[in-house]
Amino acid sequence: MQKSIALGADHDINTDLLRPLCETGIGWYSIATISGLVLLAAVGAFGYQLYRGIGVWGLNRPVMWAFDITNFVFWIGISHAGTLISAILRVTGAEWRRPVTRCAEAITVFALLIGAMFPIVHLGRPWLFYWVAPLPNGRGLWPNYRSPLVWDFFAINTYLLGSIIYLYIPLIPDLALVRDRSKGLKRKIYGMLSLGWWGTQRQWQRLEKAVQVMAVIIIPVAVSVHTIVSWDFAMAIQPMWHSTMFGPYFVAGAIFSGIAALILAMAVLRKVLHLERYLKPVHFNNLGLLLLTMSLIWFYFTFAEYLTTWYGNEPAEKVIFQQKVSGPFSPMFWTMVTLCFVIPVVVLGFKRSRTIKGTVIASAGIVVGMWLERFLIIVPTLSHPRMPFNWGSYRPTWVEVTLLTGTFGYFVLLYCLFVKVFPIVAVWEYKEGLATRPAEVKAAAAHGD
Amino acid sequence: MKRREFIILTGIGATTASMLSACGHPENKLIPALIPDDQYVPGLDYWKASSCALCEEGCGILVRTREHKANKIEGNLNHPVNRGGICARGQAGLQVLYAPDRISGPMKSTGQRGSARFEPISWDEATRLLAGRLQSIKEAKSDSILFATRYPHGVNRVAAMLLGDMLEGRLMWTDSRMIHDLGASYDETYGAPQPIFDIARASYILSFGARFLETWRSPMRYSKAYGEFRGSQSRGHGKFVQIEPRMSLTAANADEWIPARPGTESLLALALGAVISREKLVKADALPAFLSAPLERFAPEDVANQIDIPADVIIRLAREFAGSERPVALPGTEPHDTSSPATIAVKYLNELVGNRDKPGGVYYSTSWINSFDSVLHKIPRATLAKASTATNGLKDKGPLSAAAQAGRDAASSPAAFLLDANQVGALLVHHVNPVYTNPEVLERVKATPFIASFSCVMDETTQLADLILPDHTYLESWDVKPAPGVDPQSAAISILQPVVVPELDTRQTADVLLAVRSELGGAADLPFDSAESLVKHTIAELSKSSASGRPSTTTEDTTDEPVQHALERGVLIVPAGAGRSTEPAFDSKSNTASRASKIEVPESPATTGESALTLISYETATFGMGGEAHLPVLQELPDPMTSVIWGNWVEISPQTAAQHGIADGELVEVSTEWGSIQVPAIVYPAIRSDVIAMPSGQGHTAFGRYATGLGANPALVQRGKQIVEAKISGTGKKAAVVRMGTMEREHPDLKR
Amino acid sequence: MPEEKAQQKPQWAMAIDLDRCTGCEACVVACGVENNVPSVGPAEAARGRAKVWIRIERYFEGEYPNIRARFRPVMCQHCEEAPCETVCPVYATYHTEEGLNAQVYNRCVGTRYCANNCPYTVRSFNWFDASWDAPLDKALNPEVSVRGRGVMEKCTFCIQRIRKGEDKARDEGREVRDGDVVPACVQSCPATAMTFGNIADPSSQVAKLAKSNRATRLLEELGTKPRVIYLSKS
Ligand SMILES: Nc1nc2c(c(=O)[nH]1)N[C@H]1C(S)=C(S)[C@@H](COP(=O)(O)OP(=O)(O)OC[C@H]3O[C@@H](n4cnc5c(=O)[nH]c(N)nc54)[C@H](O)[C@@H]3O)O[C@H]1N2
Ligand SMILES: Nc1nc2c(c(=O)[nH]1)N[C@H]1C(S)=C(S)[C@@H](COP(=O)(O)OP(=O)(O)OC[C@H]3O[C@@H](n4cnc5c(=O)[nH]c(N)nc54)[C@H](O)[C@@H]3O)O[C@H]1N2
Ligand code: SF4
Ligand code: SF4
Ligand code: SF4
Ligand code: SF4
Ligand code: SF4
Ligand SMILES: [Mo]
Repeated sequence: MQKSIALGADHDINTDLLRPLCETGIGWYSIATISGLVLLAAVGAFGYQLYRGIGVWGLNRPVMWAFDITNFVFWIGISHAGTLISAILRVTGAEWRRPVTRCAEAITVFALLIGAMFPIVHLGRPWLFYWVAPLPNGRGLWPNYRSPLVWDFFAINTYLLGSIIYLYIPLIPDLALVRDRSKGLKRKIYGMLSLGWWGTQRQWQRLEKAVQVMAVIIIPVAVSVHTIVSWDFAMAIQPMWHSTMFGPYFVAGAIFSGIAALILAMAVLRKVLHLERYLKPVHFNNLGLLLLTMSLIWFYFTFAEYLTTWYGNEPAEKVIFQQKVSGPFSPMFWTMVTLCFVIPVVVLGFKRSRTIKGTVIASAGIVVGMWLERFLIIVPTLSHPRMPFNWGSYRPTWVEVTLLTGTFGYFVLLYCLFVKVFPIVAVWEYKEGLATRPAEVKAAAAHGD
Repeated sequence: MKRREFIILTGIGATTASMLSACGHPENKLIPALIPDDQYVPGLDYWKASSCALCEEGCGILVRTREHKANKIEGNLNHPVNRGGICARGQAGLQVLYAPDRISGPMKSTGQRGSARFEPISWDEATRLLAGRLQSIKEAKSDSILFATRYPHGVNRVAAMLLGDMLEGRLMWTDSRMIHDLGASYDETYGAPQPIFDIARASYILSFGARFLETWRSPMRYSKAYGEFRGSQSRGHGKFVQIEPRMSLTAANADEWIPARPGTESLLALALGAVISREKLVKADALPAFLSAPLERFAPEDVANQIDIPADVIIRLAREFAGSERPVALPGTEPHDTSSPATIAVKYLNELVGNRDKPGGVYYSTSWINSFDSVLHKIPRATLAKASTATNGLKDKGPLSAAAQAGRDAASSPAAFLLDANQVGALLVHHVNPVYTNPEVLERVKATPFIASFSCVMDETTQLADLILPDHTYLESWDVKPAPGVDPQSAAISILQPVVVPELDTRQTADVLLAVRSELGGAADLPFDSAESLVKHTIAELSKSSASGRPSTTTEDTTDEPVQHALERGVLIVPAGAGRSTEPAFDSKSNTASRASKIEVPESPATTGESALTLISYETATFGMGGEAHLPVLQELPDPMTSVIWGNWVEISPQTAAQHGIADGELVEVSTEWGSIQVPAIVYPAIRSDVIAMPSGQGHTAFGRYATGLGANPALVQRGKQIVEAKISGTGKKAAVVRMGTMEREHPDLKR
Repeated sequence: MPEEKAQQKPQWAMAIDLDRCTGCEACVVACGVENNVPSVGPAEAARGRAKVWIRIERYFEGEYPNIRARFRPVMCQHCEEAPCETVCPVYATYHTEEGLNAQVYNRCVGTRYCANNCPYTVRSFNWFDASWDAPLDKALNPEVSVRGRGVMEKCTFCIQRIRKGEDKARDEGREVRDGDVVPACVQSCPATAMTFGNIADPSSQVAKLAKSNRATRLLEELGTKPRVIYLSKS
């Protein structure tokens, strides 16, 4: 594939996009330190939990899942940012995607790593997590393939593997670029990572092909993952869990929160890594529109779910409905509705407010709102089981709060390290965009700013 | 003390098949007392029959032991009282034995009274100290000695009496439980025939606050009978009505709950009688002549207001009661009042429907106390007589006179005795805790020159003691207990024998008292020298008169077959003493009959003041008065009505709560003329709005790690009364009340 | 229905007569003592961690003065179609051939999914290691394991007693019959409200009670087919 752009511009782009790999500013250091400390606190909290027992959490009977599984679903949801969005954009050939994809793909991998931790962290005996895996053993014990948790195990592992590959393949040319620009050990390492990429025609063709195939494969995988996560609840017979539409509802919610997380990540990167030239208002505008769409879809699902529950008037379900809508959970519930629907629709519905600032505000709200959504799916149902004598409540402890905060620290830290080692904007894809559709890109570039 | 000393009984007797069926495994053995080490097979379950002593009922128990440790208590199917059943408290008995805070050996006080500083001493020294002290009181010839115990019967009491003999009658004894003897209140004479209410075969149960499923007379016996009442096919339209100001667990099981105003039971019973008599609901000849005339005063139309139950309900109840095939009325406690008018009025009602000695009615068992006493005390009787003469001789002489009058004959409780007696020179507390149950005695107790406690646990009274001589728990002790009213023809004597070797360096109080007696020069002329031989001796004596006519040899041969047999079964059935008491319980000559017309019409308490409420305290089925509050398994057992665990509360009706602005779970202040306490409020939907109720048993200031500092003690504001006028006010603070279940309704009302 | 199939293994079931049950909770303590169910103390209990394998649910109905209270003992219902079993990822809870919902503590990894999917809320989790202040531990039943932290537990129908009863019947060369197996709760019940036995044996007491017109099962509409039969108040 011919690169027909001015050498100067090419050089500029390379320097710009690879700068974070060479220069380290105060911003990076402070963010990395803070997030590292937050992560450390969470590791400490987890150590304490291992030492004392999972009782250091606020769980009880009947609420045996709360923050743990909320965090799990939340982060798996966030992971849909990425791969799914980048894949859809790639498959549909949305040109404006180019500076965005890697950012999104990285989110996926990190969010998955974090989300997938929770099924282990939340175990009563985390050191035995591998019993869920079908490992041959002397006693002939196998996991129970009827359990949605085992489905989770396979689905998440598949998705994680797929996402890593999907992140890695488009990274290869950029790794080679870094290799070419470095010396010594660094060169050796990047050389190994770039798998002998020399930019031959054959290599480009294969790369393009691989990226396309992966993009097609990853979409159903991503959809299935969150569907299966939703089945952790839907397969149960508990009121307001046992719902046929949880699959699509969860997938929609996941994409919704994923886009929001992507916008937030982009905004931060833009500021911290000075990528204003690459991550432009047009990207925020386009993603904002997507977000608006998802907000409407999410609302549609939520509305349908609650309306049918209310109208059905089944006592056990009605209790939980009431708990959420007008009971003790109602402040959280209405906050969720405001953050996930009212604010996004108002802010993103108008072109004037669909600015970088506007989308960031809406996204921040959505991330919080979608965490609440998961919490509100899990806790009210568990705290109000069918036999009213056992109704209970739940209050998190510092350990759970620290672990939740820690996930954000972990996420930010992973991101910091990632941008230090890999170009966060796909250099070749960006250049390819300039080369193939310069006019369009230029137009897009002219749009905002 | 060497452990070997306790390994006494070696014989492994024949076991009965029916007993084994309770244990379910061929290698299980039902074995009396202890098995010597050389015959002990590790890994086998050894079941030992004994009796529960956690309340006065004395249920038969089987204790499963393995490796010399007791690990389960079950009801003994062969015991006529509980027939295999066992209550929550009885199940928790293992924690009495293995309580972490048991006193591990004899101690003497080393500091000021109340400083709770003690140092361990040897049993020899402890016995000498006690003997010396008692000797000096005897020599001073002025003070009395009070032996306050929990139960009126058994070897500890016999030993105390024998010791009293050495002290020239200076030793008075009282117990905390016998004063509630229903025979006494039912007939106003101590030792009267015990009424047994045959609720199993009754077709209509009308209970005036008798919590027979929880406390009252005999919870296991009546629970079994209740099960039969409910399960019986023949009961037809059997009905159970409970009259009580708050819904207790018993009331919750009733078909109808009548929340009459507290204190108006006698009135209600007489109003029912009035209806029965004026509507001629019973055969005219069944109606004793003297009953009809005065009853007119109690026409429901006139008294309904006072009772606070509509007249038509009273009339309906009367018709149902009298019209039922086998009606029976149960007298509840007007607590701790032995001459309760309500009890007499209830008896009146029973007589009216003529249910005496009829299936489903009231039977009178000859006083098991008499039969028990006469046989058990055969040997000591001579010496006892001396003791009582000595006491009588002292009656009008100085400080002892009041004590003697307040003594056993007056059916006084330890607390009442302490308050009434001019001076008690030495207080010996055995299985009672008056400082906690009756805080009003605190100053009197503190002023007592010498206090010895036989408690197993450091409780409020024991903290004030000069000398502590810890008793065995009931699972390590020898004793016999008469079981109240088994059936009219026979009495059951529950046998207690050690099921494990003593955990700690404790000694059974009877043995200590006998040792003190020897120390004081008591002659060795008794046919027994220990609690164990006294128990075996008693069984042998009782067996001689037993209807089963088991061949018995001499009195001294304590390992003979009847003894062995009884020890294996854990219970001895004897015919009812010297013949059934046929004393007509209610005829025109008896004084109760004439009193019936004179029953005082109670003032309704609610009229006294606007904000005045009636505070009721009640004993819980689990801790009763608090003697078992140190058992974590009971603390964590939810109250069946409120679901509260680890603490207590005051029940308040929703209406009163709203009126006083009190929220559920709020810390409130309950105050009476004697002071105030703070306790969480539970808004309780099933209580009269002019009544607040508190369970007793919590609020210990010293009672082991689990009970101390938990909840509030209602006795602090009650001065020994169970019903007092009180005020309640919110503090605005949320109380730390722990509940195991919600009070929510099964079908919450949701609007669509 | 299991009682129609001629099955080799006994099929254990319990019948509880709500007309007789007084709500006294003797069974609750009996179960705790027999099965080494620990007390967790006031602090943990306040956090909703009190452990019980059987509880007495109390419901108020109506308003003062016509208010009623109802009691219902609830333990694991040993559902024939147990929702807790399918969701366990490691087969730590599974169905035995005798119709018991078994719980293998050693296999449990502590996901708590089973508890979340039990409509009867009868499962208790070991949030911490169980402990007994010495010497309370002397009273532990040597035939029942003390559960470590991080595992789920619940009523086993007193499996240790079932085994003993079956052993005894086998030693005597006969089928199990009524009275061979008496779970701790059933043994203690002062009102004789509970009956336990082999529902596959039509002559057993429990099989007869199961056919009573008062027989109901809890949350029957969920199709879990509980093995605990409640004889409703008549
Ligand atoms: N406000 C109020 N006051 C009341 C009552 C009420 O309902 N309300 N009830 C009244 C009534 S009815 C009664 S009967 C009395 C009860 O009065 P008590 O019989 O004094 O009450 P308990 O709390 O049972 O006291 C038992 C004590 O015995 C000790 N003990 C425990 N086990 C053993 C043992 O094995 N051996 C020995 N030697 N000691 C042991 C313990 O230390 C415990 O403190 O309280 C009366 N006071
Ligand atoms: N399991 C167990 N059994 C026991 C005991 C125990 O501790 N545990 N203790 C034994 C002892 S010492 C005693 S004294 C007895 C006590 O047992 P009970 O004689 O049953 O007395 P309380 O438990 O105090 O319960 C009194 C009940 O009467 C009601 N009540 C109060 N005032 C009135 C009134 O004016 N009218 C009517 N109708 N009802 C009223 C209250 O609501 C309360 O429920 O139990 C004995 N049996
Ligand atoms: S009723 Fe009394 S004697 Fe019987 S088991 Fe319960 S506490 Fe023990
Ligand atoms: S009651 Fe609950 S724990 Fe027991 S078998 Fe049924 S679903 Fe499982
Ligand atoms: S808690 Fe244990 S038994 Fe329950 S689902 Fe998880 S692994 Fe299975
Ligand atoms: S059957 Fe056994 S394990 Fe189940 S509740 Fe009864 S006593 Fe407990
Ligand atoms: S022991 Fe019997 S009567 Fe008491 S609560 Fe349990 S089932 Fe009901
Ligand atoms: Mo009492």
